[in-house]
Amino acid sequence: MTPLAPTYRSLEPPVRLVVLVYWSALLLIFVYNVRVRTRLPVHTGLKDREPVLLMLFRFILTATFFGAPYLFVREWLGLEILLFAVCLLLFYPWWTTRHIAIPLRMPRLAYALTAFGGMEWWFDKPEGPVAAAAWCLSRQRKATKQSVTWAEKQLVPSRPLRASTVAAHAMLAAVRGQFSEARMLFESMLLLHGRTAPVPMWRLCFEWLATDAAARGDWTAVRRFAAHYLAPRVSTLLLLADLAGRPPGKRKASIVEVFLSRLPFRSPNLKPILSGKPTPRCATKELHIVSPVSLEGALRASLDSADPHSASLTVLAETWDSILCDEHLRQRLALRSAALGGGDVDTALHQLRQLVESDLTEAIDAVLKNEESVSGESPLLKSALSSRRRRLLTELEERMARLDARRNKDQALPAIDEWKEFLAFHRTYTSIYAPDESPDRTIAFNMISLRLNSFAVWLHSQKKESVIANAIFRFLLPEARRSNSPSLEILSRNAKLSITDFTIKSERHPRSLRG
Amino acid sequence: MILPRIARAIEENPFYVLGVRPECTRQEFEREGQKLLSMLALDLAEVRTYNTPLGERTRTTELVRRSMAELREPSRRLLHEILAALPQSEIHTSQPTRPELDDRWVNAPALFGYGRFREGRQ
Repeated sequence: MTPLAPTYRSLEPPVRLVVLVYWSALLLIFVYNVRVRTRLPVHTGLKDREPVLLMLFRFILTATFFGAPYLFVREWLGLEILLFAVCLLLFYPWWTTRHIAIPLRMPRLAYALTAFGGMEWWFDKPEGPVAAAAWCLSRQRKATKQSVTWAEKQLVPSRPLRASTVAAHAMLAAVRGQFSEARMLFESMLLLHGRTAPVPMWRLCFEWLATDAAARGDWTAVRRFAAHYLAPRVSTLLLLADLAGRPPGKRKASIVEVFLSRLPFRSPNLKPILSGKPTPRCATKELHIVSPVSLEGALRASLDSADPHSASLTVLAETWDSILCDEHLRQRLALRSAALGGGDVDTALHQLRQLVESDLTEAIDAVLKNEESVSGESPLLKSALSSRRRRLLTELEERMARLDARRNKDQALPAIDEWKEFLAFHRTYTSIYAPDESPDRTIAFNMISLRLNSFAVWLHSQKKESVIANAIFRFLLPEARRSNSPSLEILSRNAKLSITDFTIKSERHPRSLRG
Repeated sequence: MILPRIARAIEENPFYVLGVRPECTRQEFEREGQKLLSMLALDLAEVRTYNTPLGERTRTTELVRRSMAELREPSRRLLHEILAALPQSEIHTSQPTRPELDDRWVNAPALFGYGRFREGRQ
């Protein structure tokens, strides 16, 4: 920096002004970056792999950038412009990755540039760079196996999980064409704390989910993703949310709208998010209700391939109830049994009942998935609900036992597998009660709360998996609040500490989580 | 809504497979079964398929043998008689309501830079 002052004095007055503005802008950017530090991703105990090398390179870059005006004095204008351009691109490596390397589909360049990112990328390497590289690969017409393997090898399985780890695995799944897996992983990011990944990772997550939902025609999901509290207010999501509000059949944007939404700055012409009135749910179609209670009617209704609805499910269950209790059918079967010289009527009807009940259990799953509730006085339906509940509670208990076993043996899975295990657990738990407020929710919560809390404490304190532990506490917390559980205070404390205690190491009495 | 196990039990109902009435005698279905097995052994086109309320299905020797075994058991036969209440002709059920093809913006991910262009994305 020493030669800067004489260089500055030797400049022409108009050029001095330019250089002054240029340096002031840099200073402002620096001050801004320091100001937003509170919004930067939290430190979760991870370290950048080569911090010294990175700092050295950044120092050289800064020196070059500030010293560039010196070249102007020497009349090396071409070289100066080139240096300025390169320096600017490298000062904003994510911008360069997002708008140059990714559109050019250059995974290694995207990886290197993202790895060069400072500040908010500090704790997300190599996961963030791998996600960027995988993003490039997902845009290639046919990604080569070597490229995919190379990207996968950059991930370090032993590193604790962060939201970027999930994003990297999700993007790699998308590259392999496993869209369900990618969708599941990206959606799982919504369970994580917002400060466990840089903002660009959240943008990647929400834009991927929203565009994928649009591709599947699931506009309700598009609205849900766009309205999520972590979703950035970016043009893509604004546009998709706007489209979701349009009537069915008119939900494709013009090429101009797409072009505007892909500009690196926000288009002024787009409507504010969710300005469109939410489209009503798929108009309730006329339900195919089997009016005559006859065996033929019940069979026909059971083969009707219309989408399952709560009302039609209740009617179907009641129809089968009537059939199974029908005295005429019983008499007819008794006569047939006598004619055949054997066969137990009760056995035959019991077998039929079991067939219907197991089918109804599956149908209940489908209805609940549509966020409807199932209730009714039908004994068959009650029995199906009860058997479904038993199955799910058993499954939940088995999953919980697996978590307990790992904790007791002190053997954690690799971070991403541990996360997937928790996701499966979470899915089972939410399936038990979804979406109504049934007492099953309290039963399930009481079954798991203390053990899951202990598991999360173990993950955090022994395995340094603070992000997974935090997601578990944050999942348990509203459930505890709903059930008025006495563990509410502990969970609340754990949820707060699990994500921040890496930043409070300087405290004289470091706080610890409670199991 | 379709109940899969009931649908499967109807598809593979022995009375439909053997092409006999639910009131048939044991001799009748045994005779019919043997006849079908012989014809299938000769690979005659006319017996390769059979009609069910859910449409045409493929008939195999294994299915014929299993159907005969099921009908020999009186309690199982009673169950199959209940499930054979529908006529063999195809019934017309309402179509499932899936998102309209027009409502799916299949190329959205590619247009916004989140993948390559592809059709029929699942």
